Amino acid sequence: MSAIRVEGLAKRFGDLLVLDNLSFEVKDGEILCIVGPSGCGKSTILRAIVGLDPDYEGKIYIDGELISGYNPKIGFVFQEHALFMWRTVIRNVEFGLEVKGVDKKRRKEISMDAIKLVGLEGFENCYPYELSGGMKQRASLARVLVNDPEVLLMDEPFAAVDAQTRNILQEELINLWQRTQKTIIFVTHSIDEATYLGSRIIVLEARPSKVRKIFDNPVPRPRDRTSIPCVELRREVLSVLKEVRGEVDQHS
Amino acid sequence: MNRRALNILGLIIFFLLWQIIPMTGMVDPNHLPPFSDAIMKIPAEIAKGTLQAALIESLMHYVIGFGGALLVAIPLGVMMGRFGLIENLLYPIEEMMRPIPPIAWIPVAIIWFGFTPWAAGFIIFIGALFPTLINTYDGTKGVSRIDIEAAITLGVKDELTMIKKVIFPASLPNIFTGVRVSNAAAWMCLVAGEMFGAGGGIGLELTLSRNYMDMARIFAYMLLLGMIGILTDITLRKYESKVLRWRRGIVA
Repeated sequence: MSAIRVEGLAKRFGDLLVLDNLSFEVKDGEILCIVGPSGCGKSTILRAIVGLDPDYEGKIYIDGELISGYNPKIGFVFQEHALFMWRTVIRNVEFGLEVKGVDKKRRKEISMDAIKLVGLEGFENCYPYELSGGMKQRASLARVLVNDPEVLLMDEPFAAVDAQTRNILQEELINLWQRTQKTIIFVTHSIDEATYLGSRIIVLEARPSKVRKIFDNPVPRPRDRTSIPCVELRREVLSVLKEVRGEVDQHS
Repeated sequence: MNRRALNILGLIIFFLLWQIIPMTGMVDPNHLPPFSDAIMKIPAEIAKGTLQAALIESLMHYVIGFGGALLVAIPLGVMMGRFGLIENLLYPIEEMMRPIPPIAWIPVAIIWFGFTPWAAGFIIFIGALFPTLINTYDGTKGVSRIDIEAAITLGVKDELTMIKKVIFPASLPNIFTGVRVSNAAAWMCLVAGEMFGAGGGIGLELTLSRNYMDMARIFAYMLLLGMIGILTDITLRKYESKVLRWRRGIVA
């Protein structure tokens, strides 16, 4: 369980200013969803926090402590599954433990627990090519979970799976979150996904990105996507996003 | 008819033609002795002990040259792929040396090492070095960024771990391609080197047979070379398909 504070984050790619003086907070144990027009730098925020793009301006704190570069408190789930194709499911899952030097027997125990947690029992000796898209994402989630990070950064993790699997994976993520109380930052371009998952939702402006609006999501869990409060919230978020997009169109 | 039966039929036709054509006098049997003459030389050479001795000498050259080439080419290729300094220093040298046919090194090898196994080994080394070096280098450069980033977010901090756990296994398909090409080059260089007297072996027996004007003996040793070639290639392929099991379903 950890809280994250992002202060004045700015990022340039050459002359292109992608993030401009972006500040927000993630509360301990919440799911913060980030939505925004495509190309607005949602992924860039996550990459800065996890230390993959250390070349940014601004400050990022985890539990009040300034961070830069890799931090074991943070786990990252990629948009594509990013599994190592040459390793079986269990060998993928135990990767982080192997790097830490945990002994083989213990590694296997922890990995099997994670595999069970994501519902992949029986597939631990499969290679990634033998798995469906949803199963691959489950495996990559298990691979992050064995490191027991306090914060999970998820970069459109369900974007590549079909709509039904996506709903199932969202429900499973909520179950997992309720059990582990991890802090989650979840980037998505689906408003449905954001309103279903998020404790709060941040809407970003188009490039250069700033926070446009933060929504609290008061809908109690378990949530029903089709319930009136859910639909209302979706409508509100959508109208803010439309404003943002409208501004983009005027500029161009 | 199935594939295996057709394969065998093709071989039978080939050997039958080889048998019949010299017997009918269409070609001079002094130039092309019938298949039976060539094959019967093999037990005769074994009885004299010449064949085993030549085979052992050639295998020794192969182990020195091919083994040495892999020991140098694979680590060097990985380092060229990962460290800009080494890449920029070595790339022009490699590009300059590579087009020189390995056979051109025979005089150098004989002067440097005399008529010893090391001379043959050196020529094989030169011939086998570049295919594996180039393919390892290419493979290492082609490792996908997402694999590397996934490893970083899972806790890989040092370059050695990155190479061992990600770069090397991800490049293995390319490395194997290089090793198979190197294997073929090694046998070519082996025979050429030995024919010039660099350390005895099967190549030397070919030269000696020419001096004896014994065409059947020449073809007997050529048959031996063909068999060794097939055996080494089958062994490499078997090992490759075992190690690269994970690629099934990815490649056609």
